[in-house]
Amino acid sequence: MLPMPAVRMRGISKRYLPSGIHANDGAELVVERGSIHAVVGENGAGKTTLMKILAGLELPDSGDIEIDGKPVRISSPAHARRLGIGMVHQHFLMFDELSAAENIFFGLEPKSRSHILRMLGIIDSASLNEQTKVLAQAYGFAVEPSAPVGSLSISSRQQVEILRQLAAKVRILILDEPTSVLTKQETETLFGKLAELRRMGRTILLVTHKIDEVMQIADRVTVMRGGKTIGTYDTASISANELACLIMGATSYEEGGPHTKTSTTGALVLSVQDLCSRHRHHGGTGLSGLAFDIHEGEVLGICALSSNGLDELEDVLAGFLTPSAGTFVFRGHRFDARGSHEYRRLLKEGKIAYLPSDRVRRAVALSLPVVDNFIALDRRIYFPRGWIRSTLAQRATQEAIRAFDISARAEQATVELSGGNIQKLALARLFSKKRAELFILCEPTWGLDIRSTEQVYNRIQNISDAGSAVLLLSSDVDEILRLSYRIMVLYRGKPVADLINSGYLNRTLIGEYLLGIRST
Amino acid sequence: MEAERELRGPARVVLAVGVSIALAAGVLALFSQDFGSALAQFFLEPFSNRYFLGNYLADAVPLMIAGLGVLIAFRSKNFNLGGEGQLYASALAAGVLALRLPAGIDPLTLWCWTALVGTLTGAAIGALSGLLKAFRGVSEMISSFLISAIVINISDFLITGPFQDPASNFQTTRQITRQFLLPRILAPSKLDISIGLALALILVFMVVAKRTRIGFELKICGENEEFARYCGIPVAAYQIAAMAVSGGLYGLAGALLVIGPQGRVIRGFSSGLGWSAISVALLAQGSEAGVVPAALFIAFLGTGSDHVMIGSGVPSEIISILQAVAMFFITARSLPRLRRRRP
Repeated sequence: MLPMPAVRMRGISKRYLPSGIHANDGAELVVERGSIHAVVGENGAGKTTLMKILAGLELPDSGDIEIDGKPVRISSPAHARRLGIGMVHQHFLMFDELSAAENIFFGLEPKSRSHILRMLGIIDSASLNEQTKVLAQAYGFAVEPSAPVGSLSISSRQQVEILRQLAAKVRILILDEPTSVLTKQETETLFGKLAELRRMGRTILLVTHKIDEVMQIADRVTVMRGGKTIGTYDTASISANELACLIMGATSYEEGGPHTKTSTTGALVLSVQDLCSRHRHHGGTGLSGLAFDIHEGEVLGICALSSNGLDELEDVLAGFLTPSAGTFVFRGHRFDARGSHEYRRLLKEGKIAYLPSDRVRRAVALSLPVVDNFIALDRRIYFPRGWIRSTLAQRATQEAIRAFDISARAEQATVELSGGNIQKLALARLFSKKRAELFILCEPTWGLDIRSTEQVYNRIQNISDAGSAVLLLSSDVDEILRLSYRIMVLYRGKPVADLINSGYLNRTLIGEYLLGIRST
Repeated sequence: MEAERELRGPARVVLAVGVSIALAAGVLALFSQDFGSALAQFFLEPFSNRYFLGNYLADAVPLMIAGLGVLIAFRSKNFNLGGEGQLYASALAAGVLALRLPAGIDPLTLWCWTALVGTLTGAAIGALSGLLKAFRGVSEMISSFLISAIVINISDFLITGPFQDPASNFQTTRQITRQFLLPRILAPSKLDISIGLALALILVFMVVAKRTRIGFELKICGENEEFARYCGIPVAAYQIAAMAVSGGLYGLAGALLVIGPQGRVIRGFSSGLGWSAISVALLAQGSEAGVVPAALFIAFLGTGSDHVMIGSGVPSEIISILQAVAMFFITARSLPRLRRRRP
């Protein structure tokens, strides 16, 4: 007889009202105990919803769930936790001001040794730190217990989140796109930990877009499409290409080749000189003496590990952070980067198009309908002489939804959209209007599935071929290598490499620059 | 679950209104000698004749105008708690102007000037809080409240000092002559033509919010400030403008009271109107059209309690408890919204 599966979900359906969109439509999932099980699918395939149902964050409209063979109805995250199920979210839910130890044991604080302190509900932070250390050691994590979480790097914060689940004695750990915020090196470290947890008998559910990661770490993989389960496969008996085809529902799939354009480019669009800034948040790095030129038809890729100045560069270029020094020259107009009034006008007039990396906080207003978010950047067009042109706005939004294959309706509240679909909406907004002279694209394919990523890559190449300059800020080295004509690497806020992407560059070499081992 | 959330807003308002009415009946049963007649005085008397109905509607007019202002500020996530001072000072400015203008002036010109001066006074006080928020990061809730406290005291001083009517035993300015007061409708009640202005204003603001770029940009500022900056919307300007509009409408409400039902500025002129307008805005649930029933309801609680006080001797303070209860039920609504899950 087969061993009892850790999780069995049958006929799970979930419909979001009032839009009436089926996020799950009779989805099935069986997960063996002590395995790493990947759940894959395109944006809006229903992966995250299915996981949220398992973690008690959403109630299904119908369907049965069995945990360790016992039928259950998971009513809340607390209930899920009692059943031994915990979820690490794509956007971490933590208290930035509190220490790692306080975050890990939040709600399960160990009792103070002193009776009186315990009565007063005072937390013994020394013993909290000690227990954190013990816990971290037991699982081979390196976390400084007393450090405020806000000061930690993204990968450390993720470790804190995982430890938080382990502290709550979670046996089934769900990770929603854990590697989307990690660099290659950090991903390797995470996978090492996950393999270790599997060895200790934990069951791990991994939601992801990245096929190579599934092949590398998962034992089994469940493919979802349109809210339904397509099938579950052993990763040993399926090829990456077959898996990609299953995800997309296509019969064949070919990944696009690297950007091979090496011809000389056009006129200078933007020149940035001697740019310096303070850091944006705790633990970040300011920029020091950054300079680069970008020409028509050129794709300049700038990459860095987290907290090495990429966020600050984005904010300065987007007009959100005033640098301490620097000069911009745009199309021959020179201006001080500190008094960025004129520069902001370029953004406002659409000469520079900017895609924020933080889509939830900066790219949309979640509570507003999709159509409002779509027209928000081009108010000149949709509000000529101050009055709205509703039919035009509706039509343009519906067109963009079709062209970018966004699973949403124009009147739907944006908060109901999956992360990938919000990203598509933000991209559609930039690519649907008159082509800008300079595109500043920050993590453009963050959270997108393979097919959408390919579409975005094609669009980036098209705008570059048409003569726009493209500045690509990304922590995804493969993406940088694939698209860029020139590659710049930042380390601790300083440029350590400025290279032509002409075949000899590879991931390992860029990785050495990223880690500061090598510099030019 | 989503459907529940959709229903929750309106359902909560109905619940709040229902509970306060039930509670009103309960209070009357406790505090009145003759429950039946008290009940009739509270619920029926305000509508029983032309005079009572007119007075009741007249009470709702300033609530509509000021409530609309609070609503606009709410939409941009600004909380104007300075209504009392804004209304009081504006009324005083408008009243003094009306008394100083030459006696031969055309009444319409006088009304326009006083309304304008009242509006501008309120707007200036409101804008001050907006400016402090935009450039100094001072919470507009605190600054508007404190500025209002200062302004109230200054106004008290002016009324009891330089502008005191020497012929009166009350702490009040002189009376504005009858010909300069707004024409009454439903005479002999105090209802005047300003109700038309209030309804027209609500209509205008509704159109602005739904159809114009300004309304759209204000909404974006309120929903997500960082996104508004990304869109290139001048967030600081909208913060200041929203507070100015809110203060301005309080000011207009004050000015209209002076050249309307009141005819002069008595010490303590605002008498809680500033706070009641906040109840109106909360009850209206972010909709301009909702301001009308909300103002009618809040005014009804006040009017009904006045009738009971006169008729059955139940202190009107008891009734203000009801307003508080209604507020509790409505504001509780914002809690589930904050908990709304993000993707």
